[in-house]
Amino acid sequence: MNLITAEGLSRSYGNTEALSKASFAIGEQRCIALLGPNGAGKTTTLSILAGLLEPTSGKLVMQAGLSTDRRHWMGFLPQHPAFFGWMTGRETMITAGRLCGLTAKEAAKRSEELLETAGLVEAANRRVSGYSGGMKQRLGLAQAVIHRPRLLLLDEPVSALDPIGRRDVLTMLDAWKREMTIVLSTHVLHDAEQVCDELILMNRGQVVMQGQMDELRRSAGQPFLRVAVEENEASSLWVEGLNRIPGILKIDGGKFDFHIHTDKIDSVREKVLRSALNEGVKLLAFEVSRTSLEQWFVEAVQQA
Amino acid sequence: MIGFNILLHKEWREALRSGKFIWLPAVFLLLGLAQPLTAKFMPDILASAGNLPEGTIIQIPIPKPGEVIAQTLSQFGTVGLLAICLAFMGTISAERRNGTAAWVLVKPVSLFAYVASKWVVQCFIVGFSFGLGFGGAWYYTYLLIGPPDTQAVLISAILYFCWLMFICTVTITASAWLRSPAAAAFVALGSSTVLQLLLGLFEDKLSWLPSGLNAAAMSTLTIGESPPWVGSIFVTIMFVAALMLVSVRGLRKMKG
Amino acid sequence: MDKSQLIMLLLPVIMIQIILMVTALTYLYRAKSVRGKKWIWALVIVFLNIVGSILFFAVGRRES
Repeated sequence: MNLITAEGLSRSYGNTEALSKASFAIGEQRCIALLGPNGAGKTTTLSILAGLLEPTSGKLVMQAGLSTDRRHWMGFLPQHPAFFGWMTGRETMITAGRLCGLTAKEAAKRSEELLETAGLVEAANRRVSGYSGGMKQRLGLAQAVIHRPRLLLLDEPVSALDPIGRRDVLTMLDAWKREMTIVLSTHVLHDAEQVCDELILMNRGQVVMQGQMDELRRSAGQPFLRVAVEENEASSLWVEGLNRIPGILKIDGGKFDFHIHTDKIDSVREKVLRSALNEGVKLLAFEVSRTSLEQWFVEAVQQA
Repeated sequence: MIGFNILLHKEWREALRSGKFIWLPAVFLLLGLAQPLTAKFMPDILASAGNLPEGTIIQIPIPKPGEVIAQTLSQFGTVGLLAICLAFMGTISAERRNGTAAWVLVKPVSLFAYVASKWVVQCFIVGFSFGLGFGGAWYYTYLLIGPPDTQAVLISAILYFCWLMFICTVTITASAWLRSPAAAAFVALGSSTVLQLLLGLFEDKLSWLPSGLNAAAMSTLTIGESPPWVGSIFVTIMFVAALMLVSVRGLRKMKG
Repeated sequence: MDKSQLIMLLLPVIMIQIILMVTALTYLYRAKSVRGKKWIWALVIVFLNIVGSILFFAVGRRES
């Protein structure tokens, strides 16, 4: 059962259409990436989902049985999270919790838990105005889930962060995605790949496609074998003879670390491995990889 | 009004920490104390300023107590009003611009609670400041000039507070609709001026305007009798209620 | 009314003025950023006293 189904959402500002007839579904307990280049309509989509913006046309259908005011079961973190700078981190958490309808006791308890998760215990009594970008982002995430929402909406949660901040945030999301549905927007495919298991690709205000990440990966490109061997005479001979194995289309890369392209990955994998063992070649790496989604992403965006 | 208590608490702490609870009362108190002092010592000040030929007799009659308090009110009506408008001109627009309004409104909070929490705290600050300033003026007038008529003073205080509350509401509403805080302050000050002008022009027909409260407070103090003001109070309350709803509409418009 | 009485009456006014000025200067000192230059605001607060303090509180501060 889907939490929210969007049917033909459109939103225009004056004459420009930021979002045009977007339809997609948000299921439960998964992490969905809204992926697309800048200006694809990701922020508009999230703002509509969050109830901060009304769509010009189209509608959202909620799961039956949930409160009609979706703010009760939804958390939202905008692209540039804003806080009251004069509040401390702890006050921000407690205020957020109380506004979401928690009792004073619950709010205090949840705040401590989440400050811990966000690594902000030491900074909890400092004013938010003195927080770094990464700390604000973690605080933003923590306060967005204080009422244990069913759905967490995040607009570009990692774009503005340095690698460490990025890792911290992705770790937090990874832990939460078992408890709630997370929808995050990003223009970086790599970030989406790291935590998300579903993808909604957007471009120029339209939903290009929606699908499971691993399905996409499977259909995105042919798998290939990556092989690395120790650098010695035997390896060298073996590599030169690899061409004779049937099914191999192309070998590229370095001499001792290369990619084998094929359309029959299963049989080729077995044959290459067998021959390496027979010849006594010392393997360093042997793996099946796929062309990254990156290529596919770029192509999909260009087509649309 | 879901979230009203929490938002009220938030507005309250914000007013304390941003210093509004220090400077607004200080402004009103200074204005309130300065007026009786000026009224009392103006002749001395002029005399000691020199440049007057020997033997000039300065005859500036020291005003009556009620008049001094009325003068204080007219100070409140200029500098005080400006201070109020400047203090609250960005109350909603600034939060919308920096994103904190969105922070509040993505939580299950009613828009009316958001506006009402601001209104209550601001009216309280204004009431406290005005009370302090007016009390100071009363006390100094009593000491320096003479006892004013207690009943007139109390009635005028209530009337004038309602007028200030009205301007406060206008500021909030303007701030909900206009992006620029300066524009909001301009609208609030402008509407106060226009309302007073209208009243001045059509005194007999428009005494029910909110600015009628201001005029009634003044005349209660100066001539000891007040024109009927019950109508003004009623109209002002209606205006305040309507403006609150208009503010909520302004907030909703943000969603497009 | 003699001089000492007058001073007693003026004292509260001066006190408030000082409190207002000191508060404004404290906020100015602690503010991370203000509209315009800090030293200009310091001059405004000190020399325009009450009006300067009001101006600073109303428009000089930037939300952090």
